[in-house]
Amino acid sequence: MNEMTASLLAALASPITQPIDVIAFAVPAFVALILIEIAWARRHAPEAYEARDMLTSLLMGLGSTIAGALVAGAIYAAATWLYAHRVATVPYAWWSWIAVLVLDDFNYYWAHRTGHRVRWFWAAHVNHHTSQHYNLSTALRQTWTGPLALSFVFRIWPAFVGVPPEMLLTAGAANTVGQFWIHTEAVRRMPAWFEWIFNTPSHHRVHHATNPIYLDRNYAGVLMIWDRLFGTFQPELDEEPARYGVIRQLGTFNLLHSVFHEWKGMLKDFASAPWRYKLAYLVREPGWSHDGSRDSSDTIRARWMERNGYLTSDEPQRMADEGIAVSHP
Amino acid sequence: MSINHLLAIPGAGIALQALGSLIAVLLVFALVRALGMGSDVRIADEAEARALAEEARCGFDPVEVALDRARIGALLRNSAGEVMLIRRHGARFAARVLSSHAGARLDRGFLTLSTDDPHFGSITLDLGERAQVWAASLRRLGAAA
Repeated sequence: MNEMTASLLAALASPITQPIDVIAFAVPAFVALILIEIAWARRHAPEAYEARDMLTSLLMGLGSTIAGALVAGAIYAAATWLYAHRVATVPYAWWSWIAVLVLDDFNYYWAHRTGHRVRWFWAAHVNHHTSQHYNLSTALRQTWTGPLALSFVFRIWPAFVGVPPEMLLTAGAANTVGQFWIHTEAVRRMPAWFEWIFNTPSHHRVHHATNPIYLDRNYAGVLMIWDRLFGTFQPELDEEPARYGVIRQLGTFNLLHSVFHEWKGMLKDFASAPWRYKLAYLVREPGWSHDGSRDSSDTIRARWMERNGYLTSDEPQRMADEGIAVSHP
Repeated sequence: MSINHLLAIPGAGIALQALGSLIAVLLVFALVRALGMGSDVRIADEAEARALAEEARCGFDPVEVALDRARIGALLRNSAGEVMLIRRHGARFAARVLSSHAGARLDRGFLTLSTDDPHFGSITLDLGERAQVWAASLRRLGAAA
């Protein structure tokens, strides 16, 4: 073992007293990569960037950072409280760092999946999907209201089983940073082995797409294995270029509307619904309505498959693999 | 007041960081704007308008299409009598199914439309001679007709 490895292992085995603000360290890299992508887009895909759309994304990112800073203490305190009542203790070691990074990514998958399938959490997460463009600035189009929705509970429970809160919150920040680079059209495909294990621009384009076959797929953060394991994986199809945004495109660059529109819509539905359906408007999937008058991602996908004569959602991929032309009306 | 005194104020660090970030955001915005990015998108033809309608609502199946002369928007009607308005939004398009004709204003060949979503804004379509026909047919929409 050389000296550098030994000192790295020693550092990983040393307790930290505060979560490491990984995101703050990454900001210069974010800015540099956005500028590089703009230079790429100017030459290869001028339509990939739109100034007002990008401005909305970046201001949402700034607002999210401020909102996060305001509540970070409370989330840290909640994790610390759980840790004080822990049932075991996870030591600081190189292997525990890896284990916690993987566990946090697993938790992210479920938080993210719930963020798409439960309207309460969707109201906070939808912000990230409101751009009709897909570039690195979209990665920064983040929620202001996630803490309000309490979506952090998916991420802090490991403190109760003995993961130090500092380690947990550092892993969470690293997970966020690890997802930045996948928000681009500049990278088409990574090597096959990489695409199998990790989330990539190709996989995440699917996640941001509104094409019926792509709706509510690929929830992964860093590791793609969770989608493969839990049946939500959908590969990007060459004959089905991704179109981005939300099913009902906002049609505005208004910052506050982008941030709060789904909360407003959900609370309006909650207020006007008959009593026995009120809770369902908070906990059912987006697009659900008690009279069946609206579309959810499931109903849209089912209609699309019926119109195209598909029996299963993996059929377009199978047909493409077999060289059968896939065409859609 | 020195920078150290300023930073000693509670929350000043975050406020300064936010201000710096805001300045950086505005600089990148100015750069993208100066580079003229985001193409001048137009609806090429009826087929593209139909495709945009299908993207907006799977199964809309328009039977009638009217394109704005500058191709910045379109009106489409399906066999159920529903009317969809498509309009340019930045370098993309956005659509709404109209629920009433309350937001429709006709001025010779120009039809101005707004929807029940105030954030969606209004658009004036240059439909030429077809504007009157569409304006008349929109009166069949919704209770406000």
